[in-house]
Amino acid sequence: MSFLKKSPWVIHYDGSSCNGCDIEVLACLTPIYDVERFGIINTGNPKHADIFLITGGINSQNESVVKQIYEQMPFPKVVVAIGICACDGGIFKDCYNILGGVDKVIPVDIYVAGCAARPQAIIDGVVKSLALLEEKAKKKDYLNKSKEDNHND
Amino acid sequence: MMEILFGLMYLLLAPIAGGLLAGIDRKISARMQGRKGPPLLQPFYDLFKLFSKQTEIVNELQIFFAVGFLVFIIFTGVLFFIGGDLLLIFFALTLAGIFLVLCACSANSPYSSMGSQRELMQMMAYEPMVLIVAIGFFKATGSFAVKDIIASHFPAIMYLPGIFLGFMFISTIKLRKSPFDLSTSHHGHQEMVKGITTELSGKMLGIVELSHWYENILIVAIVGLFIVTSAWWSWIIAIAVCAVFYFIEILIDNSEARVKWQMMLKYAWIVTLALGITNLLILKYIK
Amino acid sequence: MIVLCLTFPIISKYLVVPFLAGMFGGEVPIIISTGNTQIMILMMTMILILPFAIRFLAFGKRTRVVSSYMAGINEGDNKNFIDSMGGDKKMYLSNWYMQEYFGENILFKPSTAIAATTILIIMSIAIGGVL
Repeated sequence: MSFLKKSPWVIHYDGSSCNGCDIEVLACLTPIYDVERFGIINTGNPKHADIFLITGGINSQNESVVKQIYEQMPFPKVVVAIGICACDGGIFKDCYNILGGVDKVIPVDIYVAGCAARPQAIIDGVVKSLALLEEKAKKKDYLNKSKEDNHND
Repeated sequence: MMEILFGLMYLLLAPIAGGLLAGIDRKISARMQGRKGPPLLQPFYDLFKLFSKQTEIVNELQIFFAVGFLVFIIFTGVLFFIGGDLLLIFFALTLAGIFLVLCACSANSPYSSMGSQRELMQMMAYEPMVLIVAIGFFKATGSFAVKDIIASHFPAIMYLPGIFLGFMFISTIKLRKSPFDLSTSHHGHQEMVKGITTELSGKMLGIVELSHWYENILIVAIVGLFIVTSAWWSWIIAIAVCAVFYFIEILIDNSEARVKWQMMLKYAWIVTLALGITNLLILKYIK
Repeated sequence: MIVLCLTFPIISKYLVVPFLAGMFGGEVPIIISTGNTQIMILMMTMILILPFAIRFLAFGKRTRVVSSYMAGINEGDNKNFIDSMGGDKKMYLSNWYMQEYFGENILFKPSTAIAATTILIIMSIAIGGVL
């Protein structure tokens, strides 16, 4: 029985968003929605986290930051793009500094659309990503990948 | 023989008890905050999940220090439950803490270095009181060994009420509860991005969590040591006092905000002076 | 050899003490008490377990070496980070010197007072002893 489903730890990063989706993500921790009943903890540290919640679009300054945070997360990991800005750029898509959604930089697994995405939708997206986490843990393809990393160094 | 049995019981049962204690802690904290809270066995799910994740380290010294921390905490706890020397127990506890600090310091990252320095500051704040506890037990019962303290006729708290209160104060620091959770903050809150445990992940984090459970059980047991006498019903009273003590710690955790290290140092030393040393002086004249 | 170290109290009780008693006659006093021997055995077992625990608990195929966490702006060598204008900045860690508590000027007055008092007391004891 995999315990990843019972205790998913989340890291939340905000690209260049309007902060609406961030507030909704943090609202999930409040007593009304209370995701801690599922064992979800909002850690600020990618090395402790399983699920990467990204809000907001990606510009050229935070492209490397998002990549680095994704690389510092241990396997198995899942990326959830929250809000339409993280999915494909949203209403800021035509701006000169926005490169687009998160999938321009890292592979995204779950897209939660909305402006701002509702807490119910966010929780739904996180719960769907738990099943994906278990699949990834079963496949264990990170074993081959980590061998490659160690050889390349 | 009985003592070796107690030691083995600690070795095998303390993780379970520590995990349940952590689960009760989170549940009661959640209820105090008006939420439902995670299931009671949640810390165990966390621990098993951590052991199944990939470990990431910055350098290999961290593994040595983290495992050293676990081994020394287990050694300290087993020594306590076997009935060993209280001074040795407190020094071994400090040594285990130094291993954790070295683990964080060796990673050379800004957050974990700051966390390790704050952890050293915490140690500086509580070490005087801890030594006074050991000296107080010696003055009250005439021996440093735990097996003599639990066989005495009067509970040590009759002679050591001030030291008991002082130990309750500094165990807020040792149990890493607000207002003194400066170096790493437990269950979800972030202080310097997790402080000393920032650069640990996967199995290493699981090992450090496990060691914290062992340490919590040891601290609760030292609180119980104040009450235990040779009568069998004093053990029940001791367990009840430990439960009330932990509930008060959870209450303090939820109602206080984190303070700066200067304030922690000042208040810990004031409490040590006021409660600990006066109690020792009074004991010197009574006994 | 390791087995000899670990079982030395048993060997002492059953082999060495009767031998000494037979040679010198009479009771042989116990030099190291049982409490301390227990602690010594415990510490030795612990030190022996440490390398095995490290080998089994930690190293494996799944361990990966990564850069330290600097909120995503690490340059990869754990020494520099990217600052807000896009350039490099060196990371700098220092110790706490706590000048307000343990600085030299703060500690000077009490230590002079204590040292002077001690010298005076000892001098008066010495002079009083001579007279």
